Amino acid sequence: MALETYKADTLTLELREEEGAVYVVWTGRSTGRDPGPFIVPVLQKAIEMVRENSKPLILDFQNIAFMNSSTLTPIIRLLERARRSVSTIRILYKRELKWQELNFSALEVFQTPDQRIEIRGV
Amino acid sequence: MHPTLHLSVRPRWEEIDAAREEAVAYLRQHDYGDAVVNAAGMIVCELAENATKYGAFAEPHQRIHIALTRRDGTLIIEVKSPVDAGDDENLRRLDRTVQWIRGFQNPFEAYLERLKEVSGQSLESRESGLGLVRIAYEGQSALDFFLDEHDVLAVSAVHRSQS
Repeated sequence: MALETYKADTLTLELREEEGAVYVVWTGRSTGRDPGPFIVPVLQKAIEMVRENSKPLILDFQNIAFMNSSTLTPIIRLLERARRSVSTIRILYKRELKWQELNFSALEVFQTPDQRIEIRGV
Repeated sequence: MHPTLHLSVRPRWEEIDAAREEAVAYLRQHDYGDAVVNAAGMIVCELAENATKYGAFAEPHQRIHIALTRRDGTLIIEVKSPVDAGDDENLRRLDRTVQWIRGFQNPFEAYLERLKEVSGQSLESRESGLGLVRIAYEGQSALDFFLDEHDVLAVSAVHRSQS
């Protein structure tokens, strides 16, 4: 299956297409002043892939150590757009990490009743 | 005297993460758990980022000063930076934001409110506006600020529990 890796300073995004889903796996730390120009094109490419193949997009944050708030904003905006479209997005985070639990559980505000947008602690 | 870690960084983005790492290492040395350590690291980062963005560093020697003080079961994180006192808009915005957060019984509600606002902005927008409310909610801290007679702004976050 296709695999692309994108790296900016201490943040790595791995874009991977598997049989059942497209994955964006986040690792490292995201501390850039303006991470949007790095993150948004990768997320847009992932969205294109799931649209073409009718697969869910899984954003996996379990291995990210830190994100500043400038990193959160493009993710939040993407979720809102997905909520108003037909895309299926699942966010995975590590529940045992309190910062991840606080941070990502708040994103449940974007969940849809049909679970098209789902925030899941693992 | 309460034990305090003092850090001094130039207003450069690449130095902020190093300061965060130093703060994290200091708290781990003093047996703080992951939850407090991660919260404190985030607070240092967000406050230092704001100081870098909105500070007025007219002289090359001017620095951002970060202090972490352990006092009576609380952790106080203070970030000081020179500001242009003539630029009222940034200070007014800081005041409005702090007062707005205080207006919520639970900072979680303020955070959700801000998430909804941010979600409607353009994907390319560079505005975040999440930092202070994130400190209140995820950092579980009370925010305050003070501008002294030398135009140095001190923004502090008092973390409520030590664990």
